[in-house]
Amino acid sequence: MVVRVAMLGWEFPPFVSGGLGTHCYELTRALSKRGVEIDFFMPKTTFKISEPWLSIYPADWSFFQEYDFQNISLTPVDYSGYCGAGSTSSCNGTLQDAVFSEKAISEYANQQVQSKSYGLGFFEAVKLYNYLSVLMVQKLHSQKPYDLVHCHDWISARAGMQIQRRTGLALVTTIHSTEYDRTASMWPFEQILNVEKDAVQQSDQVITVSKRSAQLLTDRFGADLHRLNVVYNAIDASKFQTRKETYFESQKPVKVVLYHGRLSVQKGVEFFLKAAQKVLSVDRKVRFFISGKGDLLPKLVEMAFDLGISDRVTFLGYVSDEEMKKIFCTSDVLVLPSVSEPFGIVALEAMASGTPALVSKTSGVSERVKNCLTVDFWDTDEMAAKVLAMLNYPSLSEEMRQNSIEEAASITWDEVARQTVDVYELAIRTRYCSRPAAIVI
Amino acid sequence: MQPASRDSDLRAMTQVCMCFHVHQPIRLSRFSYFKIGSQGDSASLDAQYFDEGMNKHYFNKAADQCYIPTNKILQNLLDSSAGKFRFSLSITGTLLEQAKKYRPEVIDSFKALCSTGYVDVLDETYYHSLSSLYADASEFKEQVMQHNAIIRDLLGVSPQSFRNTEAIYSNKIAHAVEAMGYKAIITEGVDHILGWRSPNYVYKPAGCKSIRLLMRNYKLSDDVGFRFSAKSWKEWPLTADKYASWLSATPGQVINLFMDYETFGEHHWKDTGILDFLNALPSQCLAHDNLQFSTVTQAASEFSPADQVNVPYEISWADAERNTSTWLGNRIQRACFSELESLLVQVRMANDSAILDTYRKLQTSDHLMYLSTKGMSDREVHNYFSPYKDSGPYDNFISFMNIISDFKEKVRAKITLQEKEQQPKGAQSPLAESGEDFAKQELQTPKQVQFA
Repeated sequence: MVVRVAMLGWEFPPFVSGGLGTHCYELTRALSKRGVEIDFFMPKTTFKISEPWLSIYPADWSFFQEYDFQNISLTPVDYSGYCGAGSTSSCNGTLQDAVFSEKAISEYANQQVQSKSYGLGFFEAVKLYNYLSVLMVQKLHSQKPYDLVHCHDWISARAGMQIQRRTGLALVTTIHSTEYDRTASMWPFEQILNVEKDAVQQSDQVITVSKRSAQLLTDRFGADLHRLNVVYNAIDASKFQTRKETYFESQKPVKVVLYHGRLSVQKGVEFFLKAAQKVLSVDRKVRFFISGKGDLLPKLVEMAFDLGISDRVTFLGYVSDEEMKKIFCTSDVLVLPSVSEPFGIVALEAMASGTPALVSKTSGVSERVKNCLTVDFWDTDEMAAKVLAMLNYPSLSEEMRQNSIEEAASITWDEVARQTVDVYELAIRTRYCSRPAAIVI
Repeated sequence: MQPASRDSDLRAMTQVCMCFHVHQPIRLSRFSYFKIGSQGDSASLDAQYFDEGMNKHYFNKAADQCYIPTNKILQNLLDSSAGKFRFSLSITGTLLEQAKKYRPEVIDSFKALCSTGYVDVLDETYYHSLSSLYADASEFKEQVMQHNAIIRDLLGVSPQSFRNTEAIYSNKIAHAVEAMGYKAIITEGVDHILGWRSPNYVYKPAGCKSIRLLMRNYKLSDDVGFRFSAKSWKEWPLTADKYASWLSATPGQVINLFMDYETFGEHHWKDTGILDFLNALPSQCLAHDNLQFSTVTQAASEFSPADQVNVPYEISWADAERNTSTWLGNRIQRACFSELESLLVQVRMANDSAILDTYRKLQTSDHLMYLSTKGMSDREVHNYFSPYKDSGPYDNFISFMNIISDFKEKVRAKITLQEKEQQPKGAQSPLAESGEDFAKQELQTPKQVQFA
């Protein structure tokens, strides 16, 4: 029985930039209901974050007393990427590793006192967050032992691996998405790929959010099938309204097709626009909403203009969660045209709101739900044909609407927590039964 | 027709009444929304709506695995038993049509079975349709007549009993079938209809005079139809002598074993031993003093009804519910069904044999079954039978409704054309005008009929 978990995540609401924060929030809440005690290690932010079901530790020098460092190894977390599977020699705290000098520590500490955030570039901040997390987990572990470390994505993976080596704790890593997904395999960042590969190979158990994501980890990172687990994401359907609302424009009702998500290559928004043009060639009355922000925005605006549909496409920019709930209700179809989507929780959000979803076949969510339509992201003819059918056959939209609401309500975080606890237990067994105990520094 | 020697000991004997249902739908193509209203005359509609390649593939598979080997076994059994072994068959028109096209030898082998005189062929709707549920009874009757004609034509026998699509049955259907002159009708032995009564007797439909009702013993039928190859079943492996002993120990007058013909060789593959089971069954049954084989028509005429059976709402042999929810359980199914039903008037107005034939092929109930959204256990059965493995009910609906929408336009175009030909120039037809209005309103959003 796993009772005490050190969990490392980059986000926690209200400090959220993607789906990871929401995932950590819902997962820890559901885990605590199953009796799991969680210490959550996240970056230091300007937010005051606390929830009753877990202890949150912002990674910060101020956590430590001077004498702490007499007991904790200050071996830095290796980030160069050479420390692959099996090369434990560099991690045993021998002289091979450079040790941060007392001076460096105090310099860092001073920096932190003066600025509210780390005051560093992104990668430096990630590095420091990882380093501090290792030290903090080590300290707390020596006071009251943990059963397991659980990391989310590459961004906290190095720390997880380091804790695993230093303390011998079992490590579970959840890969929500890989660098290949985020870049649609175009110009992936080598350094991040290395971290992901190491994490996948060194974790005692790995959690992925879909079968296709698990397949990618096997193909690209040589993941061990016996240590891969698929735990699909879930949704708290009670947070969404299911009231159907009609969108009016100049007092006339119009049908709305929605895209919601980041505007990046991974998401395939340009296919959405091409399909939009084809829909509009049949029915000019349809409106297309694109909500979310991202580096592709200028290109997409230009593209809508070139396709001659800019009067029918509205870019909503950033939309708050509360506003988004209303937009789901007024939309008739949600399209998730992702080129590469490990899961695609937005489809569940739409379904929970009673909005029928059309999702790409290369999305994890299409494996999980029955009551959605699927399409190849590149097949914009088929995408447009399906959107038209969903808009024009009321029996279809009503049947999908009712079944979507019902199905979304059945996809709960409690189930995710149950499966996660199973993986925890598996990880501990993997750690202590199938290989010699790690050397504790 | 009945040998005199049988009559004397009839009452002491239990009749084993087997009825095999032989059917293949004419499967639909994938049809995009963008193809609705595209050019094409009514003669080429079939090529656009139906997937020739898929139909040929499935027919050949069924013929090789089931029809040819099983017919051969039955032929031998009939030839060697001198009338002691006999059974009933119901074969759909859509199957015969495809057999004629792809594998004529299948028709020959069925015809040879019939010519022994010990095979009782049942009538049904030619297209395996749900036309028995239409408000206008004439379409149902015409499809039954069409089936009767093809059976006479291809198999050389004249059916006297009736089996509705998927054993769909109600008092109303029994009345209609009696009015057409049939001696017997068969349906499922549904528990809540039978109550304390046994399915192993001949019954009389409520309110009917001469027609008799035979109800399927689903337990014993499904032992062969569903469970035969299930290794988790405690009775596995089922042997012919074990099964015959169960039949022998079953009380009642007629044990109605109705099942899909594809049970033999397709639903259960040859290597499960199903064909050997069938081959051994007659002799194993006849080894019991109290068992005799009988056909549906024969059983109905030999026994007087044990009771009257009242079925105010439709029942069927499908799914756990044993009602029409397999085909009309959700909105998308009901939308397609009512679209098709409401097209009847216009199809008749079009007065074109190709259009009528296409219209009726669209009515095959299988197309609606592929739209079922029912959960778990039934879903597995539905998926097993669905040729569209990689797509769900919603995809199937879109394609089917696109076809119906396109077909509707073709029918209207035909009506308009005929109006123009019939009317002198300058005269305005009120019919054509209203038809066009209709088209404008409905093409975008097909009408949805609410069911109570």
